Amino acid sequence: MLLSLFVVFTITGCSLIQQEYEYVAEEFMMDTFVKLKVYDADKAKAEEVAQKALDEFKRIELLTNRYAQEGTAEYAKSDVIKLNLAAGHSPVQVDKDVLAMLSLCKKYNKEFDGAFDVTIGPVVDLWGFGTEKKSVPSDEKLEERLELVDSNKMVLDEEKGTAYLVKEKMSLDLGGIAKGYATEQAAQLLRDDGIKKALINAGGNIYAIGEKDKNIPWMIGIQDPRNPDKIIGILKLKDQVAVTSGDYQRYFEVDGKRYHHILDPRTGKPASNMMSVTVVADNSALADILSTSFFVMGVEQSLAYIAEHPGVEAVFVTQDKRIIYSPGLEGVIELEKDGGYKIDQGR
Amino acid sequence: MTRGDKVLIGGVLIMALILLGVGYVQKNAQHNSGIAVIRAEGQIVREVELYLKENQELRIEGPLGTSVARIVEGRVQMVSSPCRDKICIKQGQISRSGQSIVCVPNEVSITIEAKGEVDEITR
Repeated sequence: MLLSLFVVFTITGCSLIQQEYEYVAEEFMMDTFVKLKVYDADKAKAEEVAQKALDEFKRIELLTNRYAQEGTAEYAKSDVIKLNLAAGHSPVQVDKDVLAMLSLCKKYNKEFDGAFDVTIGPVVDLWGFGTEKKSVPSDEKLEERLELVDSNKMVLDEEKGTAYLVKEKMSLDLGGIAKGYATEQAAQLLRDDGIKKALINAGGNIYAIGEKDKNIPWMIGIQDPRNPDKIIGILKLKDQVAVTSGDYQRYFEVDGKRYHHILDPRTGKPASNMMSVTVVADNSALADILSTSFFVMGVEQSLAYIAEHPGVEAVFVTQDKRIIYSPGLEGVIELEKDGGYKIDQGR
Repeated sequence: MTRGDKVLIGGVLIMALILLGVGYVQKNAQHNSGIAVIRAEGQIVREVELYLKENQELRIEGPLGTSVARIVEGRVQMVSSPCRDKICIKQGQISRSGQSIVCVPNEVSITIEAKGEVDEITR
């Protein structure tokens, strides 16, 4: 999967005295492109820490990959594959980051009454997302698989460092957190090494470290869910993340009806009221979980959650072509006026 | 060829590109703000302003051969590539800053960048 690395140095020096180097590294990982832009006065350092951050992405990818082919080195390294194989049989010793991810997922599964669930694996497989063979399953089959979706039957033992899926045929799908968690880890590595300015784009998950220039924020566009050439608006971010879940990222169509990959764990079917949800927060793993959860829960319930959690904001694009954003984004978001959407500020 | 010769040739090429660029700027009043930055084997080989009415074809040399990109009305698309899977061609058209087309096997990438516009796009 890790195929290449494009490397470029440019001098972007904004003052005459101090030169600032931009190091850009790009790599295909986690089924998407991961791009890092790291800025520092020390060229060698920027390169070194960017490489370290990419290595961290690779490590998390290997641990969470559940589509590796049997017999490959990737297959042997995946904790998620080990856990899925051992379901109903025995607990598995896992990496501390895998345990941390699962523990976070369990917490939000509870918080959102099952609207977010990493034990969704059997249902994802039934739909065929992640494979070439996608199809709409029957209700009976869905019911059968939903029996296996239950985070309460995922037992974590922090002391022993183990995780256990209690029922046979249960399986994990970390698609709703792995990229966000890896982005968070990579950003922390950059920060720990003293990087004050960087931009990470992990397939549309954005992490903005610092600001673009003195008192100038990073400008992050939000993709128009129905027109890949357009954006619906711009978010001005500083030391923040923006993560989007959309019905346009992975989907297939049957008889003109769109079936996308964001499944409601309670029904096993694609969540239906939203085109996209973009979450702004200060933690990428959390934002990843929230964007998926908000997509499933809908506008009202999500806004209620946001009202009680300072530091979390969101922009919703609904199926009936409305854009709703949380009050905290006033002054942070600039929406395109003639985008064909009706704009509301949520309460 | 001495090192000095190489520097001289490189310098002349860069100057030629800059002059070409200046020519385009003068020729076209109407343009959108994007710049297509073309990289091959990790180096920037060309930067093309995306004019709405300036269509052109770019030939980019990579380790496997020539990748061909087409710019039509400010949109960039890979139309031919020596790579096996043609993922770069399947990526379709890009026109917004922050978007990119990457051909991993041929080590060619096209990224749209723009000053004063968006730095990246969340999707």
